[in-house]
Amino acid sequence: MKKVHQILPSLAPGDAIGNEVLLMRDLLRSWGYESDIFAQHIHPDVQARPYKEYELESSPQNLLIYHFSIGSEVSNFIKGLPDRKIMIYHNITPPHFFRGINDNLMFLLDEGRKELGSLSREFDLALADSEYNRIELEGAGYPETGLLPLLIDFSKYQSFNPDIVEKYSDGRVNILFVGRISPNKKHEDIIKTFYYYKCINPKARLLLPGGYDGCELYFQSLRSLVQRLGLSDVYFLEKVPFKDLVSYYMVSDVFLCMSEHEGFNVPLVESMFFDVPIIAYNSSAIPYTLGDAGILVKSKRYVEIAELINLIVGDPDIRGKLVHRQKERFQAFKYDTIVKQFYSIIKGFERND
Amino acid sequence: MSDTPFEIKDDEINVEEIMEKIRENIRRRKEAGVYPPDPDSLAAPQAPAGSSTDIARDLAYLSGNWDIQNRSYFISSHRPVAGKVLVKGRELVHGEVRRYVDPVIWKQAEFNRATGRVLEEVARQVSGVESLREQIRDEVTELAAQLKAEISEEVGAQVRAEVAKQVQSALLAMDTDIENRAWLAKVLEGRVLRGAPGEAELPDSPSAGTGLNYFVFEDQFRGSREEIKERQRAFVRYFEGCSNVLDIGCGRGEFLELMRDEGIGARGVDLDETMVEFCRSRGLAVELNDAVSYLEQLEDESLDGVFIDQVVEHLEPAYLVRLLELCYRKMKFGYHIVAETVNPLSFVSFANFYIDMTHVRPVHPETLKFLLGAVGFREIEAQFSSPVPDEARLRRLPVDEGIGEAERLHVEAYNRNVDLLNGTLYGAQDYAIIGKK
Repeated sequence: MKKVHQILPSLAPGDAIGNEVLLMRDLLRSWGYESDIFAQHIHPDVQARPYKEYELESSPQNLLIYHFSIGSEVSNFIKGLPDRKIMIYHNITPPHFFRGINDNLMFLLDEGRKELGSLSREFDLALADSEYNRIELEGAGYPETGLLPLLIDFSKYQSFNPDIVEKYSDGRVNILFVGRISPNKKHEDIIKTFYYYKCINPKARLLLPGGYDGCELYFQSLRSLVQRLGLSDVYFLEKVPFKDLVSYYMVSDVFLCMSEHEGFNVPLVESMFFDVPIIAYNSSAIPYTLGDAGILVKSKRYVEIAELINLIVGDPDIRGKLVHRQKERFQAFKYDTIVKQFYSIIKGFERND
Repeated sequence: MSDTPFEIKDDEINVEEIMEKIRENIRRRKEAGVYPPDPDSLAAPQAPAGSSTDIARDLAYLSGNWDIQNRSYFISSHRPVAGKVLVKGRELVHGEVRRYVDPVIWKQAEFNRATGRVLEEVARQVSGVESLREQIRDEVTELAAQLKAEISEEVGAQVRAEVAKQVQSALLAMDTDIENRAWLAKVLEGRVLRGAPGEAELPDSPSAGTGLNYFVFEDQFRGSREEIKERQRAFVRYFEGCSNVLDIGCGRGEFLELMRDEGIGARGVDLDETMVEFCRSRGLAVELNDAVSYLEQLEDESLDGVFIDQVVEHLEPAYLVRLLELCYRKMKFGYHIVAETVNPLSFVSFANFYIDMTHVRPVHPETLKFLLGAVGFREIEAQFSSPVPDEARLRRLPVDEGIGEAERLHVEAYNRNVDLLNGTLYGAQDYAIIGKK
């Protein structure tokens, strides 16, 4: 086995899947494999080949890794290919979240869900980046499933934007959530919690980095919610450069996640890395990613969550303990750890040659 | 498992204790009324149809859904042998259909995209204009407030200055009045102490023996000195360039003051002691004397003007003739005499003639003209003055253009009568006869 290629519907820098794909390509190449990325939609900032070109590369000797997260032509394309195949399942957001917000996306997500079922016999191995996703794969009839947490290269989290760090290190309490403005992420619940927290501590701000492409209606509704509640200090920061993102983690006191559907949630691991105490709603992959770290919220009672934030911010003891447990949990996602896991999976296919 | 709403998988942290603190804080803050109303109870304000809220929502929908192209369709088959044929067949049909449909869908998608972009841009600009409008409104409000403050300050200062000026001038007038009255009181007191009017052998002044102080009377009935001066200004032109004008019966000296203002040499003569003293107190050259006696002692042809205002109606006919003869004699050739008196041709002034008890008889303009001519004056003319204000006169009818001929004649006849009556009843109150030696 000389060639291990990757294929996916859409390759863009900056999103969790895109980052992983690029890291994996570099790793595979460093391990001596010929490795390319094939994609249907390719962002101009990254290099990849049009997915149809893979017809020319396809061979039973190859190992092909399919990153699956949405419905696309790629699913049908790989069906007939003779290669050995691994799926890495990043989960598919249930389409219902997007009802009335983005019809196209709903359709593609729905297609993705259908494809998930129809592809179950196509893969030699179906990997999930979280236990939650792995259970879904099992449920969809995949015979061979495994776990490979998302590959995140934390050596890249060094440079930051000093302006942002200075601007927001002013003694105010910064509450952070990182994620696309997408209805499954339930920004409205974060805002409502912040609405109560502001009454307990007016010197607070809510930082919300994340683009809203395709979810303009949702973004609009969030903005009018903020307006209706008469809330100040809510910062919709939209899509921010990586350096800025690092800076927001550095200045934050609490990471608050109210999302109701996540396949993995990289920001939880990032918060662990930056020692930001996590309060997260118990849904989908969240408890799996958190493990025994952070605080899991079982019901969205805003007043109680706001009081909890107040308690954590004001109690260095609890805060210290939380951060300590998060650091321990972070070990599970350390780059080297995941690289080793990935290596042994690839090598496993080698042995089957 | 406990019923706490939070889960912390760390034995080092006592969740129950945390929960207890949270409950206590919630209870305390609820009592203190710290919490705001439930966010879900704050219903979205009812935006009217077509309002900006709807537009924003629709815009967001447009930008999320402009692309109607179907990219997910893929032809495939799971059948091992027939599958390939089926796929080929489907591809053929699909290709044909796409040839027609794709460009249309593509065009529609592009159209949607462009529309969305344009609308977004318009909305963006409108919101820019909105915020600019807000900004301008705020600035204008601020400026208006500032301006108001400044103006009220400025106006206040102006009003204060104006009030101060008015008060000053009122005080000045009061001062003058007090001064005049004090002077009058002093004069009268002096006279009482002396026990008798002047010792000179003067004929009586018109008010002599009436117990009436003519100065006080004039002050009340003649009108203010300023008004008198204003009326007399019309006659100044007859004395331009003169240096020795005589004002016979100069009274309070209004005309003499006018002459002095114009740089014309003039003096006066009056029979009333109070008047004379008053004039002298103002620095006017006035002699207490009877006009005839005074004139007699003058050199012939020494005067270059004579002014006799409101005097002839006080005189007996013989005296008047004598006075006019003397005037003529004492005047230089080519100079003017002006004699003004009440106009008896006007009923209103004729009726008012008797307000002044010292009036002897009104003199008809023609009589006065005749007398002047008889003593030798030439180029005699009459000037009527002090018209009755329109609102006190009989009113003419307006002649409407639309009226019939008969009616027009009626109106004209009526107006002619009104004019006649106005002339008789409400004619000029004074007249002057001007003659030239």
